[in-house]
This record gives sequence, C-alpha cells and structure tokens, in this order.
Amino acid sequence: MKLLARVLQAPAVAGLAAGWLAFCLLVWAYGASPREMAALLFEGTWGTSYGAGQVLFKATPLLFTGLAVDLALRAGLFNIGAEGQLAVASLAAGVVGSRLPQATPAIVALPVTIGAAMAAGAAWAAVPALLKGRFGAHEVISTIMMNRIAEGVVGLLVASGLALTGTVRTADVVPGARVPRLDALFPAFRGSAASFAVVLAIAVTALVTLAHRRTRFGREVGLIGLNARAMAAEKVPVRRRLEQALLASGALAGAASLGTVLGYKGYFEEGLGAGAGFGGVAVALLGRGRFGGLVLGALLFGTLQQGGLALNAYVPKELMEVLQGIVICAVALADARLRAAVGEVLTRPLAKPAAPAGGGTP
Amino acid sequence: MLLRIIQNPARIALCYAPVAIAGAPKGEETEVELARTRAVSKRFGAVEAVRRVSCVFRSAEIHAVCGENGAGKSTLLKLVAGMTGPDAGEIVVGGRPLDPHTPREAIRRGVAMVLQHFALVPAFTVLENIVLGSEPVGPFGVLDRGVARARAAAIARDLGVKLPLDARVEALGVGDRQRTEIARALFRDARLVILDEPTAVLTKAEALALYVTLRRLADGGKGIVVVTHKLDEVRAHADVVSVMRRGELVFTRPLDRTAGLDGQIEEVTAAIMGGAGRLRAAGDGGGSAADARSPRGAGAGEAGEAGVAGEDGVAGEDGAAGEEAAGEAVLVVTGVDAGGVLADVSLSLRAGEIVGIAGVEGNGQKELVELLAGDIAPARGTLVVGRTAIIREDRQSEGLVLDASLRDNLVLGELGRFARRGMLDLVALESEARKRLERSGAVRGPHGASASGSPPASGSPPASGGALDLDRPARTLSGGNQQKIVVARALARNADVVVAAQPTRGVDLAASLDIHADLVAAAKRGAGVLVISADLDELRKLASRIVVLARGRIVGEVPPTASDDALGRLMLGIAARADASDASAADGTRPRGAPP
Repeated sequence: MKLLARVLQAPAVAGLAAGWLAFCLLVWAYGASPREMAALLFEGTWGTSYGAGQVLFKATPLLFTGLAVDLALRAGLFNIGAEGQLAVASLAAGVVGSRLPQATPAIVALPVTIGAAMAAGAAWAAVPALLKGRFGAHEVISTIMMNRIAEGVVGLLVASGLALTGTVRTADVVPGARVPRLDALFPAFRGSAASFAVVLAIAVTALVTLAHRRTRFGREVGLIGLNARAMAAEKVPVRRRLEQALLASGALAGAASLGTVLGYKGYFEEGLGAGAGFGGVAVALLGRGRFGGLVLGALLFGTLQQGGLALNAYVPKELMEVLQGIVICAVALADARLRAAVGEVLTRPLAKPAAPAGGGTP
Repeated sequence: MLLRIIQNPARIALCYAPVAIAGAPKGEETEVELARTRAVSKRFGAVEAVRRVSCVFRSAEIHAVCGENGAGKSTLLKLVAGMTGPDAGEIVVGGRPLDPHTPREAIRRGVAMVLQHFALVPAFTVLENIVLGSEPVGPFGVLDRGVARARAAAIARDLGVKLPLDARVEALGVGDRQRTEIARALFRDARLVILDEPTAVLTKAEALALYVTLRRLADGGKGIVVVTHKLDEVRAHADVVSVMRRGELVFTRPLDRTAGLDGQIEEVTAAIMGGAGRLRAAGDGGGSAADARSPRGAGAGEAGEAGVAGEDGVAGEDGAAGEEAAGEAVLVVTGVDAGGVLADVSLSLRAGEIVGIAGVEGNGQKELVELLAGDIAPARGTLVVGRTAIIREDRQSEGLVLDASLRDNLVLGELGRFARRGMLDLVALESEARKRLERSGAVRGPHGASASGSPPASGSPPASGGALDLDRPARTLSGGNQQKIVVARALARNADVVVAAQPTRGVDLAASLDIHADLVAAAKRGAGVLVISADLDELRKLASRIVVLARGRIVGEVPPTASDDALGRLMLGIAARADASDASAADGTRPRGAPP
C-alpha cells in the first residue's frame, strides 16, 4: 500500500494512471467501449510501422519544445512562449530556406536554415529575457503576450509579401535544407511524415541534458533556479544567466521547426506547428529534466495526438485533447517541484525581481 | 501620525478604552487566571514533546518558561495558543476548555502568540500588518483607516515604543518586526501574550527594551509568557518561572524578589539541568545543550571556552599568533558613505587580526556587509580591499542552495575555476569539494554529536558511518552543519579578508565552537577577519578590538574587555561622542594580535 502510494506520487505514473482513468470514463460517457477504443488507439499508433512513424513525427517538435521549456524551468523561469518562438522560427526557416540558391549543398543549407530558425526563436525570446533581466518583468506574462504578438506578426509578414501571392505559405525550401524522411532509409515507415529530425531531436536532448551537468552554464543555471539569491551573493551574474537561459530556450524551441518545416512540409505555412509550443510545456513537466523523461513524455503526447486521429471515426479527437489536459494536471499535482515553483510564481511580486527581504529569518 | 491623533481625540478615546489599562498602577488589579493546562500531553511520532503538564498563566505577570532545546516549551505554549491540539488533557482559556483548537479561537479568547520566526507580510506596511485579520471596518466592509491608525498609534504609545506605521515590514530590522508582532497581538485585544524566544535574535540593548515594554504590559494587567533559555533574563525580569525538562513541567514557582535571587536562580538551573547540575558536559542527551549560550547560570560558558582550547589547541598558541599579527592592512575603508545608511565609515583591518563589529541590528551592519561584498558601491570615500570572502548572515537564503548537493554548495560561485571553455572538470571539482567537506567537519564522526542543532523531528537521513556523501542535499544537514559548509567554503578561498556576519546565529554550541576555531585559524593563516555579530560574548571571545556601529556610523572602538554597559551605551548612541573619543584615544588603532 505504501509502495503503491509512492509509485502513484511519481508524476509520470500519476499522469498515466489519471490519463487512463479519464480515457475510460470519457470514452464510456461518449457511448463507446473503452476496451475497443484502447485497442484502436494502440493499433493506430504503435500497432503499425506507419502509426509508429506518425507518432515519431508528432513527437519530434514536442521533444524540442519540451527541452526548451525544461531548460528555462531549470533556471526557475516558466517559458510559456515556446509557441510564439516556434512560430517566428518556422517562418524564418521557411523564408531563409527558400531564398538560398537552389543548388546549395545540404552541408551548408541545413545549418544556415536551422541557424536562422534558432536565431529567430532566440530573438523572440530576447524580448521577455531583456524585460526580465533589466526590469524584472514577469516572464510568464511577457512570454504569453509574445505568443499573441508572434501570431499577429507572422500573419502580417506572411500577408505582406513573404508568402507566395494568394497563399499563406512560403516558397519551398531548397532541397539541401530539407531533412530526409525516415522512410528513405527504413522503408517500413513508408507514408509517415517522420523524418530524421527525430534523430536530431533525441541527440540534441541528450547533449543538452548532459550539458546541464557538465558545463558551467548548465550548473549555474540549475543552481540559480534553486536559489537565485545565494548565487547572486556569490557574484554569479544571475540576471545575465537568466537572460541567456531564456535565449537558449527560445533557440531550442525554434529548432522544433526541423520537424515541421524542414522535415515535413518543406515550406512554412501559417499555423504549421501550432500547439507544439504548449505541448512542450506538458512534455517538460512530464520529463522533469531527465533525458528519458523528456523523450518518453514527447512520445506519450505524440501517441495521444496521433491516437486522437486514429479514433476520430468513433469518438471526436477533441476527446484526446481533454485527455492530454488531464494528464498534465495529474503530473502537475504530483510534481512537488512544480508546486513549489508555481507557489513562488504566485507569491513573488510581479514588478520586480525577488528583492532580498531585509533581515530575513535565520 | 501624531497630528491625526490630535485631530481625532474622541475617536481615540473610544477605541483606546479597552487597551488603556496600561497606565494603571501596579498591584491595583488582582491577578486573574487567563489560561491553564490540565494534564496535557502532545506526541510527535515517537517523541512525547509534552507529558501531562498542568500549568497556570495569570494576568499582570511575566511568566518565564525555561528549559533546554527540545524540552517542550514551545509545544506547550503552542497548545495554549491553539496552534496545535493536545493528544490528552485539557486547555482552559478564559474559563472554558479551548475548542476548537485553532489560533482563531484562542485569539478570540484573548491569547496570542508571537512566534520566533515572525508571521508578517513583508510587502505590507506595519499598520497593515497590525490590523491584518481583524481590520476595523466602516460601512460596506471598507477598511476604516482612521480607526486602524489611531488604535495602532495608541497601542504603540501604550507599548512605549515608536512604530513606523507606514514603513514596509521588509524594510524593518528584527526589533521593529517583533514590536509589530506584539502590537498586532494587542490590536486583537490579547490579554495573554506569549513570546517564543523573543530575544534570540535581539541584541542585549534591544532585549532590554523589549522587557521594558513587556513590563509595561504586565503592569497594565496583561499576562506575558516568555519562552527563553537565558537565565539572566529570567533573573532580571520574570515574576514566575516554569521549567520544562523532557516534556514534563518540573518546576513552577514565583520569584521572590525580596529574597536573595542567587539561590532561586540556582534552583531553576538545577531544574533545567535535571539535578546533574553544572558539571555536565555539552553532549548530554544527544547534545541537547545546544543553546546553553548564556554563560551566567547555565554554566556552559566556561566549558565552551575550555572546549576551544582543548579541541584544537588554537587558544594555546595564541601568544605566538599575537606576535606576528601586526601584518599589513588588508582592508582600508576611509570616509565611506554607502547604501543610504553608512555615513563616514572609516575602518582598517590588518592581516592576522580579528575585529568585531558590534551594534544594534539595523544600524548599518547589512550595508557594511554589502559594501565589503561589492553588492553596493561607496557613494563617497574610498575602499581598499584585498580578495574578500563573505559569510553571509542568512545562510539558508543567501549562503546555501538548500536543495542542491553539498558538492555544489561547497564550490558555489566558483565553477569558473573548474571550467575550461565552459566545460567542467568534474574530477577536479569532486576532489576539491571532498577536501572542503572533510575540512568543514560538517559530516563526520558519530552523527549525533556533530548534528546536535537539528530539531528532533527533522527526519534527516543519518550520515552512514561518517561517510562523506557529497550528493546529500544541504537541506538535510542541521543548522550548525549547514553553517560549517558555508564557513568551509568561504575559508577555502584563502581570501585576504574574511567577513563573517552573525557566523553562529542559530547554531548549536558545539558547531559554534568549531566555527570560532575556524575563524581564529583563518586569522592565524594571515587573513584579516571581520566578525559582525549581535552576540557580544562572541565578539569578546574572538576579536582583539570591537568597533561599534550605530546609525550607520562608527561611534567608537573598545577593547574586548569593555563592559556590557559601556558597549551598550555606545550601541545605543548615548553619549556616543565622549565615549567614542575616549575609546579611540585609549585604544587607538594599535593592532593587538589575535584573540585573547
């Protein structure tokens, strides 16, 4: 019993248990058989190689954005803005990728394009980063607002000449900038949109999680997230680190365009990749700073998204979105770290960085 | 504030009436029983914190509840204040059993408790904090600021203190915060005010002022209960003394001030110590002697002094250290204004000497530390300082990252040293952290002996067989061991100047002695050590000269042999001029070697 209680407190387990329960209830309430739907869900995702490929495809941007949110979270920053950062980055990828000379080799085209995308994501995150670092503006509010602004700005830019006339899409990126599909090497994935971006995503996740431990920047950011005052007292440049963390987070969110623009469509169109930024928040909460956690989290939400499509003939796919929300809530409830962070977010003054409370308590 | 009172005399009289008994002459009021416990017991896990205690708290008296750490004092009074419910027995407040056991109900019946760690809202003003939860409201539930302010001002006057009603609590020192808490209790018409270790964070002068206030309240008919383990305070101020030992009430008796006090205090001491008396070593009962810091009465002071010499042999070699201590200046502050508080501060510190900074809290100590740490720049004057290591006052929020490993904490802020092009050399980092942990003495030997400061129910995992576990989060260490980590880190930097702010505040006796020995060793090694402390005994023990800070200025410098009285006067800024010139004339800036 005690063991069960402890297992249930592990956020991932709690999330899955609550998710399964909710799935059964929702499907049952809708008048379908949970057992049959579950079978269909499995069949539509991991049951076939096509389904599995689709899951990987859906999971790719989620893993990038999840990693991005996680990085900021380590610094104690809640980057809700991955959505907007990704939107701007995707546009940048589409625009830059399509304006390169047609014959640019992949070795140049791909880094340039993705570099542009990451730079755009970082630039979009720079606004909240600077507001935070210079004026102590609350990053949750500024990143949310930047999401709305991104939506508007991308629409405006697309409408004012960056798109092909009469459409909301850019021209195709040059062949060299495209990430090859998985089925090019593994024919079993034929037809699915999964690309080698998923391999890149996993590699980047591994590198970044390693960097958290092994680099000065990573450690300092993590320690700042745990107690910024102590780090400031030790003369670690806390503001600059926070700014850098948010910039890095934005860049990683921008890298998610590897999976959407470069690995899937081959061009940017308005709305491409929408939802991946918010999905990343869920992945980060589930992954809790661990490599395996992030990958599994991304796969889980990828599965749920693809599964929604698979079930759409029987139950509305919105049901799966409700399910995702419930999983996130359960994870959040079980996650003490998050509880603490949210509590701190709610209690700390909005206008200024946590000021040293004079005197303090011993 | 004053103006308003004058403008509004009728209103004040009206709401002032219920609390206006402060002026009544002593003895006119007969003592009334305000609260009583009947055989209450309270258990926390395996520990019976309070065992069948029956005790009465009356009006118009100061009732001191004494006992060692973990003797159950605080728990008993939290029961009375409704902060926790009893497992057995009964608590009678205002003539009826307390039910439900909530602070709200206790306050409704006139019992309020001021906790050791204050429960104020930092971002609110003093006035807002005082009225919080019992706001006087006008029509439509709107806060009636006029009434609130008038009543608060009246209470402050009643207390005989000045309260900055419009200042934010976060900007206040500890003393003002405490007064705010007391005012808050009175605002709710508390008749029994319980204070948990109120002087633990106060300087002697502040503590004295507090007792003057408490005496006024008692004379006015309030019941005052003070939890303390400082017997000199008991001796000077208490009317009734109760002693708790291992959860039981072993002594409760009025102090007869017409008879000799020495004998009576002796009895109290015996009751606290449990008969074994004063020869007992510091480690009795799992090191529960932790806070026997008051040398008078507790009899631990002498033992402590001896402890340093015996343990490290440092004190014995002091003579030699003194000889070579006339090192070059490592810190020269000349005419510095800073932080809006420090004014015309001049100070010098030589290699190898320990200088103490005394002063009432909030008189510029914080700013001085910030200045030396480089957090703030001097607005005027010059500051010449060598490499500086700071031991910050608030170890939990500024000194440590509690949820990070000991490894990270031991090299906090020094990752640059272990990084090459951004990548950390984990092997070097590990060995450095290990070296520092070993030197800190924080995790070594039988756990019980080195972690005596931790509360009994902290649930920290015991160090397995003295193994050094660098992965352990700093949070799992006792306060004393946490501080040892901070000290070890600061001293490992081989800085020219070591600034230690309240280095042993809230630290148990054994760890305090270790930390003192570390600071002395740092001075011997050739660092200049500046100790900023509210504990005059600590300054006397460590420093070769004591500089007194009052209202952001240095008002004098005295030898460690100066009397409490002389120091106190300087700290309060009384006759500061004469004393300051006297002291500096007498003592000069002559460096006087390492501690006595």
